[in-house]
Amino acid sequence: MTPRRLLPALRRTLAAPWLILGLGLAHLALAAAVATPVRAAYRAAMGPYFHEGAHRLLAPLLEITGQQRAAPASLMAAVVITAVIAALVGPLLAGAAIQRLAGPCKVADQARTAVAFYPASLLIGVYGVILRALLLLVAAALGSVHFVAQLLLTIAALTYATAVVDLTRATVVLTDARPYHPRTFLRAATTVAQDPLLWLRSSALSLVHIAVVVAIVLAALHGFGAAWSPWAVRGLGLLATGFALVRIAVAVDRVVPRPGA
Amino acid sequence: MVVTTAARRATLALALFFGACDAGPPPETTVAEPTQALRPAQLRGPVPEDAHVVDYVLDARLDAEAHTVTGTARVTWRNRSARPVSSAPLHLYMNAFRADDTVWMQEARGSHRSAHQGDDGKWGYIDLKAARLLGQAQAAGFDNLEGTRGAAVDLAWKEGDDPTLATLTLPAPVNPGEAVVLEFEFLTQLPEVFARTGYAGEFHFLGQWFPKVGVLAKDGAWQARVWTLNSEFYADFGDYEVHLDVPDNMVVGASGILVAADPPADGRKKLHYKAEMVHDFAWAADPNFREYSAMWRDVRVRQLIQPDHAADAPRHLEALIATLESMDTRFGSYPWSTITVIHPPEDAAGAAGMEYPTLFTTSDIYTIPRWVKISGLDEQLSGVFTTIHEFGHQYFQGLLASDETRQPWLDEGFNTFANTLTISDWRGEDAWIARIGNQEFTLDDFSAIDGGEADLYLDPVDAPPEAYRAVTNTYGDIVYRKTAAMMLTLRRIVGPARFDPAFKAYTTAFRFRHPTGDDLVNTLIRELGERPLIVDKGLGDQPVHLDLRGYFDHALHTVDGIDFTLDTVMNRRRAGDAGYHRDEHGVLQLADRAPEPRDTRVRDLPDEDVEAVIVVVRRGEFKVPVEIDLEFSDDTRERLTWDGQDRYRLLSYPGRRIRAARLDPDRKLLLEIRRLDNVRAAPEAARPDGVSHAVGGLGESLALVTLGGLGL
Repeated sequence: MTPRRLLPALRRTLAAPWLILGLGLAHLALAAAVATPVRAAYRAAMGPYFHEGAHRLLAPLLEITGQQRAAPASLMAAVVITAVIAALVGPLLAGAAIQRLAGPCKVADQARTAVAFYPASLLIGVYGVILRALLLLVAAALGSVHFVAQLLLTIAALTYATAVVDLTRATVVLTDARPYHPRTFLRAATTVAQDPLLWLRSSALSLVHIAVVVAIVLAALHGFGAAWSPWAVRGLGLLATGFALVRIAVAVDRVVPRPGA
Repeated sequence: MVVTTAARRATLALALFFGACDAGPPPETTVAEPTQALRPAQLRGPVPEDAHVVDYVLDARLDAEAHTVTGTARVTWRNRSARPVSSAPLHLYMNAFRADDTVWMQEARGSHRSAHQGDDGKWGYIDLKAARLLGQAQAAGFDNLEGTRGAAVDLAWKEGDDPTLATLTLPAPVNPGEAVVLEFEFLTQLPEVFARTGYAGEFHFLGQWFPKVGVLAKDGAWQARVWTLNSEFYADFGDYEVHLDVPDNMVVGASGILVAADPPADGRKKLHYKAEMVHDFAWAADPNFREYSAMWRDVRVRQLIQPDHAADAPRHLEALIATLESMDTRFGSYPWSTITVIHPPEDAAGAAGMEYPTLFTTSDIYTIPRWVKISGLDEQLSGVFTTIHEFGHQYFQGLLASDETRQPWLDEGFNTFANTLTISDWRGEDAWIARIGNQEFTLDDFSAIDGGEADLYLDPVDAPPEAYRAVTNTYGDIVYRKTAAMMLTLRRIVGPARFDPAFKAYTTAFRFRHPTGDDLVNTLIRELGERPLIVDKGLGDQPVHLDLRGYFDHALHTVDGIDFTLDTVMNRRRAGDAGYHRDEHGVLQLADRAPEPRDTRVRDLPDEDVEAVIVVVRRGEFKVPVEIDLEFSDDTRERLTWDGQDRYRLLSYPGRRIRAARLDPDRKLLLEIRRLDNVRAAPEAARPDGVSHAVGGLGESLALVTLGGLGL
């Protein structure tokens, strides 16, 4: 695989700058909104006092955890709420994103598509979860020999399932395929298995996406409390959205090839 | 070809990154066996003759298949009290594992420090087969007693309500100064190890494996108690000659030194060990042990470690030598010529972390995968802290043999305190012990107690081990951590320069003794005074003292906590003197001054028209001096010491504007329950709290990670 093979998907994505910007900013806004109660809870826990020592925050955090359970609970709640939002909103936005990546269209059309295909998109997500679970079981069984082998198999399994979910959604949104029927999903699974380049392109972008997410974690940990950290994290968050869209564009490109591509 | 090379490189890089390379255990290292069990007198210091009370000659044969030890114990015991005794208590510790209804098991319910009783070798016991009196004589020393034999007299014994304690009836009183030679035949069945002693596969650890005589106090009262879950051991000092008969493939580590080894015959070998002036004898046997030995000065350090953890031996050795250096300097010379470290296998984790004279068991170093370390997650004490801690017990209670069955804080707590000093000596003051990302968890963080840990306030420090119930989970937090925090806090309040020599006076005076809590308090009061001076000029220009006895009363006998808070840090309008005042003739006169500008906000007033007000409140009942650091708007700072006796103290500074105040700025009060309320700014100098922004950022990051691009 060469970067040139990714160019059509990249061009599709770059052709929709407002989609990137809109989803990226929504991404950041959602994260900021979820974090606001967390800040408030810890501010309340600190009361009129302040802590000194930017690299010595573990002890006060433990003290707060021990004495004021509401604060750590707010952090846990933020993560759970975000996970629920991701599970519910992702499939909704996927329909709109696929519609826009297939070609220019109005925002209203995108919204209609998103709503119309939401149940199907959710169900395809569930199929994806089942496929991931099955593949992870296989990876666990095959990879028991060595940790590295297991890791590689796990990555392959996860990226394969992601490619299948993307392709199924793109097929459902852009063709007359039956949206709820498992055969549509299985057909996409077969297509991905038979088209290693499609799988590789999608996998490469999934891995980059995962790397960006890992980078967010690292930036958060190494920059905990530092002024640069939130901006680095937000920048990476935007990148994560961008790479997710390019990955979806790879599936869209398979269903609706660009003229001359 | 290029592709193949690249693939190989990639595979190698991955393997290295994920730690897949297994270079095998490093070659073993041995050093010569010491020839004397004790270090030379000029190095070890004197050994008090009257501390020598009991000698054991043990013959033991290990059946590694049945996990049993059959043996005899010849015990020479001398009555050093002022009263005759006609019976003696016998500890039969292994019987704790004999049945579900022993006192130990009733509290433990089949588990100990996260290890659980096995299904195969569930039970352990010691079956006393015979007891005899071999001799009784007035004897000045112990040397000739082994030969003092008359006709053996069978003795009667009776197990108590709990089988860990039996009473031996003597045919005639043993008078003060007299000695008896007793002989016991016993069979010890080892349990599958989950609490200190037992077996796991081929690994055998023999602790609490033979009958032991109780301790006779000077007043003639026997000190011997039923073995309970948290209780450890208490015994007199003496010499041990131990003859072990084991399968010839076994590598053996034992208390003391190996003085002779017979050539193997019939698949067995016989080893002769000797330990002097110790109060117990333990040993381990495992064919898989690899030996790594080294010397610290004239002391042999011998590690017996499992092959899969052999690479960790140098780190344990480094920690152990650092501990020897630190404790030898701080608490007096290490008296024995050897120390043996046993590394139990992973399936015998229940045996890990236990101390016996000149031998202890440690635990494995946790290896953080390299790819996880990218997160900045790291630690430097797992495993080696066990080594530091268990070696520390060579002093607290190996050398200062307090009664662990009555005052466990004297060994576990003091040892934890000593470990903190050792780590400071080794790694530096307030060294980090764990970190993640850019954050560090330091030795002070580890040592400080936290008010969120409610179990710290259920039981006092000075209590017998059975007072701490398994379900309340108080033993570790109070006996180990709170005691250590108590000692560290005291050390910081009076200052290491005065505290360290005073504590060394205690550790020196009570070597080879059985010190009590009163001995400690009295020694420190004698060395430091009843009310040691903390500062010449505290608040109100009065000297500030620490009530040392009160400190120990609070710390040891109550559940009171130290807790101060900055209730108020503010600036207000300075009281003016405008208005009518009588002049020297008694006539009211209006002061010829402009009225105070009452509508001006305090923050806009010039500093000379402002009064700084700070209210410090003592919320805890534990009264100790506390330092207060005041930061004024003119960039000056003042450090004050308040004796902490009143409920609160109001500080007023007319003509000055306060920016911020800090309580206990040098973190001396590691016993303080809450520290978050120790730093406060005046409202007009308010600053970010230093926590919420960071955690909010983390929350935002976690949200972005969880969303992962809006779940797309």
